[in-house]
Amino acid sequence: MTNQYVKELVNKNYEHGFVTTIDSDTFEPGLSEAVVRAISKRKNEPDFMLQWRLKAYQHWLTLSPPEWAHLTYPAIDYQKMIYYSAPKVKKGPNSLDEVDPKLLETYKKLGIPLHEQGRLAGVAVDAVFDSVSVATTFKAKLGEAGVIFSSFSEAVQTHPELVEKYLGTVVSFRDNFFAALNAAVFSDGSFVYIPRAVRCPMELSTYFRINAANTGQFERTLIIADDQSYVSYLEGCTAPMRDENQLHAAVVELIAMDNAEIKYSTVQNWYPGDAEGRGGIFNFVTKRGQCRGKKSKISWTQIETGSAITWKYPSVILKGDESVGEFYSVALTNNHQQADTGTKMIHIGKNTRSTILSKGISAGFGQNTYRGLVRVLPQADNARNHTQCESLLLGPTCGAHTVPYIEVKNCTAQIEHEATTSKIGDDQLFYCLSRGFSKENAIAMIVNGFCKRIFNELPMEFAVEAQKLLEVSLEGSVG
Amino acid sequence: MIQRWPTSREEKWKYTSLGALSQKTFAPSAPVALDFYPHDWGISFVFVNGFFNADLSDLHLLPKEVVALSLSQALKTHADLICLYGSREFDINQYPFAASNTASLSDGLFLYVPKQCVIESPIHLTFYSTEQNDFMSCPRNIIVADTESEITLIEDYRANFDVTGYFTNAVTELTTKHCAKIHYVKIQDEHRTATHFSHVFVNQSAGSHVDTFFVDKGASLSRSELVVHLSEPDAVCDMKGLVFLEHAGQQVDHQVVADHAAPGCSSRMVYKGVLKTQSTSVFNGKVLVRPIASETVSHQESHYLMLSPHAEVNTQPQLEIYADNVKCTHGATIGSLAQEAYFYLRSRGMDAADASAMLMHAFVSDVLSAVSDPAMREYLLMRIDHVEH
Repeated sequence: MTNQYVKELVNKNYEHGFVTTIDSDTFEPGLSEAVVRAISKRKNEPDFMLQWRLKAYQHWLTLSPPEWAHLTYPAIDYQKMIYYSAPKVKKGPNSLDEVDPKLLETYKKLGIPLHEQGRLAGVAVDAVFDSVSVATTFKAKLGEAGVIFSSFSEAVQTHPELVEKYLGTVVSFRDNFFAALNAAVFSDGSFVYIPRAVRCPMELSTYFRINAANTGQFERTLIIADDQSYVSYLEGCTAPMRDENQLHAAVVELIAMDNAEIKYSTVQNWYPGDAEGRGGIFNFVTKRGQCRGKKSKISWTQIETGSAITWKYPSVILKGDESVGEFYSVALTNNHQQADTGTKMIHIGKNTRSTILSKGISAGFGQNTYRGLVRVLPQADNARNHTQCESLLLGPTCGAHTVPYIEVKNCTAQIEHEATTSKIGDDQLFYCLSRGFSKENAIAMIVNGFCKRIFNELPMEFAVEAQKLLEVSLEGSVG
Repeated sequence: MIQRWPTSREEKWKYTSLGALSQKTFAPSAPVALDFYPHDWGISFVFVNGFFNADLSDLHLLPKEVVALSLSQALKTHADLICLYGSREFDINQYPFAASNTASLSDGLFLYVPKQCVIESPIHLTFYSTEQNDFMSCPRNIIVADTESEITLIEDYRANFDVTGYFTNAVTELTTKHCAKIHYVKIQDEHRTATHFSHVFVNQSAGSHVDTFFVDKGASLSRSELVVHLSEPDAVCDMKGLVFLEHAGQQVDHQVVADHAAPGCSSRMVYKGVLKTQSTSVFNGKVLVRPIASETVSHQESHYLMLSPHAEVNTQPQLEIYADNVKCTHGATIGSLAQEAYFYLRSRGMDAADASAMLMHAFVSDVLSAVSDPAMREYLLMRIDHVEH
């Protein structure tokens, strides 16, 4: 009885589908060693970067795309794609005045507070447009605290020693097909270094935007939290509406030293394709954090509402004793969207703990898979994991799948896993209706309640945005 | 159909390596003359090294209207029935070892229970290995319970203490017609040097009821695939399993699939294991709910106790759901004995061995207590506690 209301709720329009007309510096489509060299040259990179990219490219040539995920999509032609596209600017912008006003307008439309007096004052933003970072705000204030927050290409120039020391130590280019591709051709991203005993004075944020047609976006984020430091980092993404699929293959590496804490939040809203499944972003992302130090903590929170295909497993390697890993996720698939997402918790140190809380919502023809690994190695005494996966089905044509892997090689481990899959209870709906809610509001409220525990993990501004986004993405599909 | 040797890169074989097995060669099994075999109870069919032995079997409680023949005999006299029911619903080529069983099957039981026939006594199939080493036997059992009939079946694998290194590759097909009931128990107590692979394919018609109970305690490597196809509405399947590993190096792998292909069916899986030594247990349970299977109720649980620092447990409780009006849950836990409970028992003067034995009994008791027939419960308990090799 609720089907038509779910439908109404799910089918709201994608708000960020506009294209910005802007002069850009774009390579010819195709991938070869020359392209890898050209990207490195364009970025004026030191030799170690070029060598690393070339090794990654050579390794990538030996790999084939992964096929184990519960996803179906046409084969991607890697030679038809453009690997570098950047808005034309004379040199790296020193202040916002030098940034193309059209770009600023784009970000204003998207609600990104590039200007320091923007509406979310207190959040430092690094904005990545197509392949390059266009602006980073609040530099001065962060500099006072000793925090390095810059675009990746800038960090390669200003702090090559840090980049060389940490790049690829969590996600090696050998890790998987998309990580190798990213390592070879990534053009920009964000770099964060929080020095010893510094609590980052504000939330850091990166905003990713794909604009140009037929381009792949390959960015790389590297965050290092030194001993006893803390940082909270937010990431948002949008793209224009196009009929073709575009590839986004990012890599995120987090490193937490002794007693450090990194909180990484994502609101992923890439263009999901239209109601018939045309277009949309293919989102193949490798995200991994390493709790290197004692008592370190890494927490991932993600709201995944966009992309035609999502392939993403933010993971934590719990190497330091008493380290903590957390994963909180809401993944929504509507229309013909497909998501295969989850996490990996690798327990290596002693007394390590991890928590996984995953909520999947499927509507329309969406296919939503939770895939998670909890691995306890023989030396990881007293490891503790609790996993909870809940799936909500809104309609008869969608699918929800749960594929957990639990591998335990230490008898002192305590592992719990639970999962449920169901539709919205008729009793819950009846209760709300009998209290005078409209059906649409009732379903929105129930879905919102379903996701509440994840939203609570988000920084406040993002929680508001995430809640709105979920309503928009679900509009017209309640059932 | 050409079959590849499965490798650990394949999802279903991720945790079970066939490296050692692929290096071995096995001789075909040969019939062995045996004078005496003590049968425990009920209607007894005894197979020695994979071949039916009529002299050792006791069929006097079997109703006349039931067709019960060794497969080699049935192929001659009842080929039409075998064609009608033998592995129609399953793409056997998906299961390389089941295909291999088909290619080289030795013997087994063909049992046809006619309409409304209720057999009170359990039918006990014993597969006994003796006298020959390094042989391979491929038993195949085809069991059909026609409309509103009911049977209890025990498939039991045992071995003489002096027989080593053999390989059992068994396939059992259970078919329940409208509202029929099969209570199925499989006890795997092979010699600790043996390799035991088995497939149980269940095909259920409307309103039928199947419960399966797997006990695994023997063999060095044991792998069981249970595939239940709920092909018509309102069928019920209840799957249970207990794993006890006491010998170093043992590995037990359970692959269980409940395939809901009709509305209103329900399935329940509860698997528990106790690993006392350096051993490995794998559980891969999957509930598949097809788009047509609305009003499915499915529950899946797996719980493992690790009592050795070198034990290893890998579990994958999966849900794959394509219909919306369903209620599916799963839960999995892995841990060791509850220290509070252990302390409580020790503080009441119990010694360490008794305290842990008592907690282990408590751990498995809920699975056992679900067996409705008290005689069967007693028998299972006796077999679990009994050390043969």
